Amino acid sequence: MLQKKFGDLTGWISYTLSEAKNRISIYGDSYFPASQDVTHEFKFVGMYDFRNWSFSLTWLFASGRPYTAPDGAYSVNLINGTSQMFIDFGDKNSSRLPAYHRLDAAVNYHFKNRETNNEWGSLGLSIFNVYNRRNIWYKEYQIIDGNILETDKLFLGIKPNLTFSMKIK
Amino acid sequence: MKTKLFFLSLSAWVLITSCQKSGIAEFSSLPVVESYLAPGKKINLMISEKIPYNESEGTADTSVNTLDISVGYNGVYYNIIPLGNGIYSDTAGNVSVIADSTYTLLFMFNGSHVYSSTIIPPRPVGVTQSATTIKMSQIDPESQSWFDMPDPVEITFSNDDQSYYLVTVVCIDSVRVPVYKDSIPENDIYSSMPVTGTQINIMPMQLSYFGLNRIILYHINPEYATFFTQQASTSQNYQEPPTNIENGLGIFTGINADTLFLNVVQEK
Repeated sequence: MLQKKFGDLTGWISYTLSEAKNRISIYGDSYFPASQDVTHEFKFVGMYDFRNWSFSLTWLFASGRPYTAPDGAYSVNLINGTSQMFIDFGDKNSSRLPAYHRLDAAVNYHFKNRETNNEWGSLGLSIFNVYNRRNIWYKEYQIIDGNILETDKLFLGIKPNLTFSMKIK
Repeated sequence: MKTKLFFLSLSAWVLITSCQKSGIAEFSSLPVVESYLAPGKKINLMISEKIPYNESEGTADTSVNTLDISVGYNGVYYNIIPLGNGIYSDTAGNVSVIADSTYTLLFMFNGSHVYSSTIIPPRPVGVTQSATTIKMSQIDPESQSWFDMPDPVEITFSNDDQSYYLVTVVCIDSVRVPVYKDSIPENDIYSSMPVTGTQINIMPMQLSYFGLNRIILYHINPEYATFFTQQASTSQNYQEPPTNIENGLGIFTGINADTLFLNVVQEK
């Protein structure tokens, strides 16, 4: 980790390399990636102060998390004459979601007392996920007309936020 | 310094993004078995294959039509004859299916032993039916005829060991008048959920047709009851499909049944 604490420009950069594995008997004798296994994680946080303004930029990157993907489907006829389809899944956590990354930005204007220079409030605009990255949270599977339909469930996309704060005392 | 930091970050980015793994699961070919053993009936099996999720994946090296399938009973294994299209049958009737007896299934598929075992449940006993004839008007969803429904038909039976039972209802009348006006039923057969109690109620609005209906009360095994559990299927919360086949999928189970009849008379 590298950090700069002083001056108008401050912030930090960090990188983490990790590995998390599980071995659970119902899934076999071998180790498999844990659901929270994130191999690479990179974070950048930068802040800049200019007069009554403050700016911040955050960029996060993380390797895709493991998940268990289906490897096929089949149908079975029941005793009532109807047919039911099932999805069969592959090895536990043997697939990886795409990498997660997003950029957050914020700008704040600080209202200050002219005489005392004490801050009495601030008005800020922040944008979560500036470039609207489609980060996948999990996948959902359905059988429609004999085919497996895969749907990506996403984290939040681009989200602007306007905030105003005021000190009462 | 700033230039070095920039290129260091860029190198890290290239390294990180070049190390993404594939998101496709490796296909494992497994046989899908479908077999219901009932007393007084010959043993039949249907063997099929799982359809790969990824279309480029191949299927098994072993054909489903040339398997050497055996069913064991009383310590003796009997060959089951292939009839084509994945269908196998004990055409000679070598194996008698008897209640309270255990049967095993054994064959090789893609180098693995496929095995299963099941017991034939006893025939339902103490079976009673609250009504053999009910009268009702044709249901018009746009009217209020819902409120003139007869009482549910109660099927009761003994169940000291709290095993699983379910009913199916199908119209066997040659003339089929739908219970619901101006509609064709999606399913001709009504099937209840498995219960471990001593009673199953058949609601009149669950019936598909007027006329003579055959009610079959099935005594089933737990492995079949699990087929009625909704399979949760997300990458966070997935469930393996129910099966009692080792190194395979599907079902090899014993069933027993009793048959009842219900006459559903249309009131004009």
